[in-house]
Amino acid sequence: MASRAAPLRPAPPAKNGLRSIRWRRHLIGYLFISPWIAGFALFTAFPMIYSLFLSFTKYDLLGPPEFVGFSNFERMVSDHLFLTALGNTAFYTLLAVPIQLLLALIMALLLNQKLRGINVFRTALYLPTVTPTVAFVVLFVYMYNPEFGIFNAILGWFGIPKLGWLTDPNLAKPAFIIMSLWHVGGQMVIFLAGLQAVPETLVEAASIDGAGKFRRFWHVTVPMISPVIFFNLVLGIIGSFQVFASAYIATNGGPKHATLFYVLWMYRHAFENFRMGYAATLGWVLLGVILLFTLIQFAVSRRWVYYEGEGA
Amino acid sequence: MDRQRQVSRRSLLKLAGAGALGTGAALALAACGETQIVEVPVDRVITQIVEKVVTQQVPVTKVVEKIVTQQVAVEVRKEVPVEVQKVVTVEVAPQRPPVTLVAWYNQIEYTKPAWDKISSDYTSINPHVTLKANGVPHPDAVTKYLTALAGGESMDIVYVHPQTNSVLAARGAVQPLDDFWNNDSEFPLGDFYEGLLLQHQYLDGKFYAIPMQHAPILLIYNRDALAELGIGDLWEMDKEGKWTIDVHTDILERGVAGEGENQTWGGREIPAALKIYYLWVWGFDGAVWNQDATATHLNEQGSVEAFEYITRLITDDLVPSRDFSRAFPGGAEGMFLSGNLRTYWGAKWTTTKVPDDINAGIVPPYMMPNGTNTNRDATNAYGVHGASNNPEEAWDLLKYMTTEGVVEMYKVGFTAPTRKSHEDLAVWLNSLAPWEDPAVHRAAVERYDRVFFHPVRYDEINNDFVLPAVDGVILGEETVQEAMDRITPGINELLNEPL
Repeated sequence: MASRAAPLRPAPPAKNGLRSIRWRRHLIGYLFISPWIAGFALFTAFPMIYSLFLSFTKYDLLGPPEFVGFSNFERMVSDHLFLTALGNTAFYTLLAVPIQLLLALIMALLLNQKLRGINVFRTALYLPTVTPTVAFVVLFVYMYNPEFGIFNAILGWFGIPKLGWLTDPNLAKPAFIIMSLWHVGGQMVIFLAGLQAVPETLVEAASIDGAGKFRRFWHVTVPMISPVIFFNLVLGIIGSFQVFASAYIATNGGPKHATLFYVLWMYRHAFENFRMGYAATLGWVLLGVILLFTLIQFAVSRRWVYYEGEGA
Repeated sequence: MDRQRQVSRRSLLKLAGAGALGTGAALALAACGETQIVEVPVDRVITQIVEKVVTQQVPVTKVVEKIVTQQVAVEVRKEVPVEVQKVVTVEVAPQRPPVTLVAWYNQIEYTKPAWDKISSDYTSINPHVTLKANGVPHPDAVTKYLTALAGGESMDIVYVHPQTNSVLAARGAVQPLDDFWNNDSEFPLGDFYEGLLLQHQYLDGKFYAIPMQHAPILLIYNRDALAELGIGDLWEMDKEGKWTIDVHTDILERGVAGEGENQTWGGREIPAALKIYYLWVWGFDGAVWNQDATATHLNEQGSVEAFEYITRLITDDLVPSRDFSRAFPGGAEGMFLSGNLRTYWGAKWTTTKVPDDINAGIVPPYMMPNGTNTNRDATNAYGVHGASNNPEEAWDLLKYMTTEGVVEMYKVGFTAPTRKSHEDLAVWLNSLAPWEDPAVHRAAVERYDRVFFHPVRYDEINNDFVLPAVDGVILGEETVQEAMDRITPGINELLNEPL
């Protein structure tokens, strides 16, 4: 009985074998990112899901959560401070974000020069961003002081009377907007990176076509950095809706609720008034508001954001 | 025979050693001093003639373990060859199973050493206890430990401020202490200043915490600065019944002088918080709440007059602006120390910051328009956690902290005595500054004769209603009556909101 001859070519791996190799590769990949997945699940996903659950409960931290249906949402509608907090935050966001973007862009343009020692200026202008929030807020409280503060001292040179920056309800929010400009370094760096990615050839071509500095900036630079502007805008709005620490430290919501921003108010309900369920509801509503703003921005962005690959 | 002799010698040595150890133990325990010697029935008496004096010292715990077997007390008689020298009867605490207690305490910079000492002393007296004392920095302390509780942290001793007494009591986070102290004949309830305990009484009439520190309001003043205005010593005036709100208003009105950073004032504004405003509301014959705290009386005549007085001090520029005080290095305290303020509202611990070169004095709050001079006190008190696994052990620790451990707080100048019998303790008297009269502190606490009830929703009422209303009045947007009428329905709604 002769045995059958061995095949001349090696047989292609079975489908199961291929799957096994792919699966092994995927597994290795998942293993590498598993710390992040674990962190995300533990510290982001789980708290989010749990807070969603809490938003339908009454929970004072000391006893178990008690299911109350939609009553937290109903409470929100009748809460006399809901619109105040939301209004304050919207006012702050609508004014602070454009000013922050404009200032960051101007600073980035200045820092995008080919000058000797430019890195020193870049470092100097970025440094305020790394200042701890508490430190710079305390510093601003001093600067805003009606008696000793530098702001009133400067106004005094022009004969303008002393202003109660943090004590006048009409001035308190603008004061916080000015304060927020201290931290535009992050946006500035992103703009700078965007500016450095603008192809020289396009600028040169526009120049040859007779475009002046402003037209080159407006018709070449701005479209080319529009994705960066969009990025900073989206993150800026999300960040501004979450303004908290500066108000908590400087005014704690006063005077007359003028700086009672949404997250500060949420914090008070959660950790001072022990209404954790209600605070969770406020958190989800804030998420909804931010999501709405972001979706609108994405929808509008199709009209003004230019992505190089798409236009070809 | 030799064998018998050997055994006998060993036995003799054993007995001698045991006798010496017992004596050592007895003397060591007796030397603890504070422990009361109580006559108790003796289960077993060890009496031996000691032929040889053994001077070796052995840890007390070993002795107890060796000699005492399931007995409450041991009487040891030691006889020297000719006569019995001393008979000592010592109470030995019954052995308890090992237990771990967790205490979260309110930590302020200089109270940590006191707490460390209390912890080590307590565990050396009670070797079966492992004490985990967690100091929580004062700002937002309550929020921190409530969050910890929510996170499943176990706790036996809980920090209770009058402001959170209702919150914790209503939610069962602390246990009523009435049963504990009623069943404990050793607890010196009557020795505590009643007003301090009243801070921690809830609507159910029960008490939920015992103070370990208290801070009645005091006006700290600069005698020299007042002399410039022709005003004498305020404490002397108080003793004569002449220290009134009008005197202080006069100081404020005449105390304003100079300009810019060199400007001086008679005093600062009344600290902005409803819990402080209580005094003025009462002093103008108003009321903050009704009897069962279901409605506020802040919009009624006396209360309105009180708020008119409080706000007038600011609108009439009789006190420095809040911005000025905040921006001044060291705040209002810094202003006093640098001579910009002639008086300022403080408490016991602020007296420790006044240097001896300032001719300072202290006095309790003045007599109000209605002739009362009730004082307010902010206690740092402690209670037994509602879910403590060892409530009896926790009570023993709480008792130690508040009756004996509190002395450590006197040492660091954090508090005036919480117990009447401690008024003459050297450790308290030695903690005072040369200019600090202990009689003022005693008067301050004795005038604390009303319950400062803080409803469960106190913080919300204060932050969301009262302070913004006061801000509005100061800004001239509305009158006090209008502001109080506006906020009253909202406050009442919160007061009646179910937990």
